[in-house]
Amino acid sequence: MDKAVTFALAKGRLANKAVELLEGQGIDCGVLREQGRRLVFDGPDGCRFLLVKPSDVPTYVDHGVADVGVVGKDTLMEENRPLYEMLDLGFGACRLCVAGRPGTSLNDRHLRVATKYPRIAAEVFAQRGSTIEIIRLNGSVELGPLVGLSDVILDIVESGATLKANGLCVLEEICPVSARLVVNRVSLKTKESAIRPLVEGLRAALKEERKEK
Amino acid sequence: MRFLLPDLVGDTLSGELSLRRALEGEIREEFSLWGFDEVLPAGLDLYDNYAFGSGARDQRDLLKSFDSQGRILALRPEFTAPLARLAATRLRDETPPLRLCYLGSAYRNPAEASAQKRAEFTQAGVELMGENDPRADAEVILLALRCLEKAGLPDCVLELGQVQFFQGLMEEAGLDAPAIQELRPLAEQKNSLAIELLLRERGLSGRVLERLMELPMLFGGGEVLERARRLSGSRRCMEALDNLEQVYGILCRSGWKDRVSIDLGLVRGLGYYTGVVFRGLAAGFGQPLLSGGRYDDLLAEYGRPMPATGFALGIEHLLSALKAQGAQEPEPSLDVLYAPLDEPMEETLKRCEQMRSKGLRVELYYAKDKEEAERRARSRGAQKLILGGEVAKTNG
Repeated sequence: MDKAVTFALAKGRLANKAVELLEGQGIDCGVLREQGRRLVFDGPDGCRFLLVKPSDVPTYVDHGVADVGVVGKDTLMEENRPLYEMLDLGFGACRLCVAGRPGTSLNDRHLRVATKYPRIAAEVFAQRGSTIEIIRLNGSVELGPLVGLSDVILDIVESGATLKANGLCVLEEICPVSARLVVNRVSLKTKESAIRPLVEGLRAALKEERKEK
Repeated sequence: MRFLLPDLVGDTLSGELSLRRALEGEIREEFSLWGFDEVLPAGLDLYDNYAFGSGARDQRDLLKSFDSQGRILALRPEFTAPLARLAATRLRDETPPLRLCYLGSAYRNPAEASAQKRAEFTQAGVELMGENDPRADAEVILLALRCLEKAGLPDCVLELGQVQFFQGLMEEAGLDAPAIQELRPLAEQKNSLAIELLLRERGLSGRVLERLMELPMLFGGGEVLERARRLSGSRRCMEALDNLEQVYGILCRSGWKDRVSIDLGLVRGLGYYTGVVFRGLAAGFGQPLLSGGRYDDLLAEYGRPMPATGFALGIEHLLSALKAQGAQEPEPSLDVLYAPLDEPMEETLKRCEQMRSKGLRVELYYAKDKEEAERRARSRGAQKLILGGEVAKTNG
């Protein structure tokens, strides 16, 4: 049986940082630098890379067509799949927040919440005992409160600049998020000889990095 | 008119079905060879039977209906609870140990996103009730391994854990039930970071914290037991490791060393496991194929306290894993196509019966003439074409 590892990487910023980390562990990711429309990249040492939409990374890893994935914690929380979430890679750090116009109360009424994360929103507000209406959007969520589509938004906030530029502010911080290394539950065992050293190597490298800071 | 199916179910056609039936036959035979008696509990049960005690299911998982008295009914989501009920009711006079097995459909409402999304699926499994000897754990695990071997799965692993080791670590750390409840899924996800955050929040630090954070990486071969022994001196942990070592030792000495591994982070979602737990994994298929373990307290909740262990195997998962590892569906084969033409029917039936009694598969086709019969014989891939009243003619 093939013991080479298949990686699912979230397209975009996270992929570049992930490549840096993997190369630090001696995995040749040169093929990923080729520009073009390819979606599957075969590395020289048998590794394979899939570049997919961030929210699809947990799906690929859960089904086992990718063994290892790199994806944001926000996406993992929203997808809520049974994966091994083995490392916090540290990059892509931001906060999951409820935001709205300054002074908006989160408690006293039926809230309309615009978000890309309907599952997280349902859970967060259920824990608070609030009843909400979720309005699912796929981008520019900040527009919601501005045009009266929603009372608040639930989204990831990095610097807060977009919120500020639109007259919004963070009303409540839910949790910090960052990129995570996820592993399929079966692959960790059936490809242990390849995946275990990778996880341990990355863990040591991340520890080193934190010390330097 | 369009004929739709409900979500997440599917029909099975003959090619796939013959592969499945052959597999089910092998598994049934193996269960029987080990002295397990097959039972079939009611498929439609009262909801209350699944909604109590340590085996209680989230009601969102169950497919429900009502009976004429307004009671809530549920399609069985699995077999362990109904078999526990049987052991405590209709089988209460049977002297333990009870060796029961089953093979049948189960139903769940797959609420959350998951690769194992199916509303109707087939489970085969065993329950060994009334034995708490580690040899009984090993027996059930060996039976699971034999089933995978008989199924012809070349590349698979069975991972073993012991939930008392986790419980012992929790006890040592002085964590209360709600904290354990919160920690269990994090351990199951091997999420060391979240474990660390949760424990720090609870005021833990130093050695205790380091120990618990090692848990996710405590997997591999027999050396894991040694690593784990260095982690904790608690009696509960030691007993758990000794127990696991006994079971693991039997499996290794029986020639299965390459097929078993240890994962002490395997703590299982369901709360009723009390000892050695295990999961079967196949390379190239992302989901566990089978899972099981020891549940010594469950039967007491049904009023018949006795220790027990068992496993359930997902037939559809096994089939998918076999396909992922290159298994082929058998081609349907027809031995004889028999076209009676103008032969009297009673004569035809007599000749067909003779062939069938020899185990040949014979299909009747009421063709108008020889050419039509030949076309049909070719399209059905029949080994032989026989025309009524004539001498047999070989086709291909």
